[in-house]
Amino acid sequence: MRPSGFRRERLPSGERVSVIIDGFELWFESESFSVDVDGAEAVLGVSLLPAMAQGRTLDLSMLPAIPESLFASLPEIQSAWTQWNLMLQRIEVVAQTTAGRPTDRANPVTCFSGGVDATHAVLAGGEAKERLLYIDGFDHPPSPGSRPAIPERVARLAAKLDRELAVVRTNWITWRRQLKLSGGLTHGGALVACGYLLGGGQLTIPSSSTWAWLYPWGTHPLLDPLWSTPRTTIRHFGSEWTRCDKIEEIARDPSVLAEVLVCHGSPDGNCGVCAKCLRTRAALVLLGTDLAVAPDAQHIDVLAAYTRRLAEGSESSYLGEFLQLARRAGNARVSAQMQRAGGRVALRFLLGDARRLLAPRSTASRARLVDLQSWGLGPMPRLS
Amino acid sequence: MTLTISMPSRVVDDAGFAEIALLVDGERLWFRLAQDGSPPLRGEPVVAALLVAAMRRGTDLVLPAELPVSGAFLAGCHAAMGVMRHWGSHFGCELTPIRIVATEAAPHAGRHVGVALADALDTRFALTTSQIRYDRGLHVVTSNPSAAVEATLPAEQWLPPRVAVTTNVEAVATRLGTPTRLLHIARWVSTAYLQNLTQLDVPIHHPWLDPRPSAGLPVVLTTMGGPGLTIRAVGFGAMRWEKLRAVQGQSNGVSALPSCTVSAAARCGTCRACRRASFFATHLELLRRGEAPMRPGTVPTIQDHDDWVFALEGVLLARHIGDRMLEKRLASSIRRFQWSEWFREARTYLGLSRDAAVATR
Repeated sequence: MRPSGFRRERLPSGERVSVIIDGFELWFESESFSVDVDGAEAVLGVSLLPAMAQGRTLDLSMLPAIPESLFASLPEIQSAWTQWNLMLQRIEVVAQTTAGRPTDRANPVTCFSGGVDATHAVLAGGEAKERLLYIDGFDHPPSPGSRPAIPERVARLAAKLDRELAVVRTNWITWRRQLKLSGGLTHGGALVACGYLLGGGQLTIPSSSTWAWLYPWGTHPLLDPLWSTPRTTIRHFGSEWTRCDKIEEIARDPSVLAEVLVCHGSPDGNCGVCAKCLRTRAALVLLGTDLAVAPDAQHIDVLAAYTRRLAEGSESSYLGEFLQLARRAGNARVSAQMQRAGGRVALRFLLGDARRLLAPRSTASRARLVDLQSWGLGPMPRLS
Repeated sequence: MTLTISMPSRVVDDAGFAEIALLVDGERLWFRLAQDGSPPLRGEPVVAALLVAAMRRGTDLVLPAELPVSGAFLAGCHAAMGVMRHWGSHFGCELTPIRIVATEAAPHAGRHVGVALADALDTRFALTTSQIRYDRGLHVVTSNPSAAVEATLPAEQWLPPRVAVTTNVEAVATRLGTPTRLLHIARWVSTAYLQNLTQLDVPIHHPWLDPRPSAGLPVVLTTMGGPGLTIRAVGFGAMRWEKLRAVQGQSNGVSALPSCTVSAAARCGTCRACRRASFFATHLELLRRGEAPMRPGTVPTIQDHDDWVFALEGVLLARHIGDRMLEKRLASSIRRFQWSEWFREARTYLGLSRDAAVATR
């Protein structure tokens, strides 16, 4: 893989950094890019994993130099990924390197989607002069037209938090979908790429998990700091808090809570009935409040609806903390319902594990994307 | 509720050794080390030794005035507790953040750069790959017999000057409830403060593929350092065979395989140490495939999570060198273990409370 045609050009509104990788023009646009950042490390951030998935040498020699310290971290980053997924291969990276200029941690940046993790990161670990990085083209394809689309609610929330938004628009998601790479695997590289281009002294990546379960994921408390350069320190923040802890902290300021956007379904409001909305609402109801949601979703029995969800899919990973919260709130009825949901979850896991043990190959062949958590050989043993 | 800490003392004997001792709930906790390396009495080693046990009991740590600690160290302990409080369910207990009450002192001011001399392979790998010149090789002689096998590095010229601390810290911490996998904190952080170090590198083994929560140990160790003492976990993320490959050229590089804990004369083949040795041997044989062909039947039976991690590392090694036969044998060994775990889980589900079934997830 040999990225070439690296360009940095002025647009009527901001700047555009682009590079051609295997015929695909990958671009990033923003009004907030730092003038003294070359951008080669951003290309490295997004292209390392695709190159590993294809088992090809990554030749960045056509690009400006990357910091030596980042180059030195690449074996460790590759080590993590190759251990997490047997389909990824260690590759050679060819690049010019430079010592890099160390800076102080001025001008910090926090990745910001307007959701619970990001809002909590700003409230609990933010700094007064930080900018909030919002990426148009991260979860969905970038908005059409020449200007990025910022959900009104995200803009209002940033204003409530008294922070400036730094918006980056990119077609990265189109590229990774074309390469059949999962978002869970690759999103860390995209975040650090945008962070490098903004040139902040520190990039904070809000955590979505706790120290209780460090599952392989594109962002990870031990992996993210390896992406640090002399100019930009990468910080993974928030693993010390559970989801319910974070919601409780946010709920202390009702004006901030009113603008939190947790819903993937609608860009400007919370539908109130999807899994993420119900998860947030259930915690808030147990804490004695609720989320601002669409009017027709206001009157449903949130706790009953979410308890049913808890027994399904990945929501079950929140079961323990919700059970604890329900007990703390003294809600015996919900505690009992959640315990029953726990029984169903345990049975579902048992059946799922049995299926994976009996037919590991058919399970693997169904996974079309290159993703994390393969462990190659079926279910993991329980922790002890 | 508190853990009662009383009667701290520092006594120097005629042989030039300092003995630092105190009573913890009536039980004597002691450290014995060369006098010239030992700073005055402070509270950091005591807090490091008892923190996890206190979290497990949910009891505050109240230190007498003779054991002051720095504010930075306290802040680090609180950060460490923020990480460890999530690990309780995996150790089958509650780990509750607690209060630490102590007189405040200036930060610890260390002088030496040290490395923890522990498990043979991890230490050798750390020393081989480190760019740092260590002037102290911290060697803990433990009164905990199950851990004694780890401190068996022979004296060799290439090792940094060894300084020994004899202590019962692991035995006391274990009796008070510290999970085995978290004894690193009691052992290394407390002795690093006692040995006047300004930096301690702790060789650690935790490959990326092992998702156990103690993967956060590097962060906990780092936060329990402070302005006067930097603690780093080194060798994290690398697999055992990568470490074996790095050190196999050294004299005695790979000879210190764990000894059998059942039989002094021969290997029983089933104890934990024998299984570890067997996995090491499998990895070594793969690495030396060209020199010595694989013997059949050398893939050991997986009995616990540590064995499972060993076996997964072996799969990656087998893939790395293209040995499909061994990869398959390791995979089927893993599959047998997974089935035994599945039946255990099913029994738990059928026989125990639903809470217990959830908690094991």
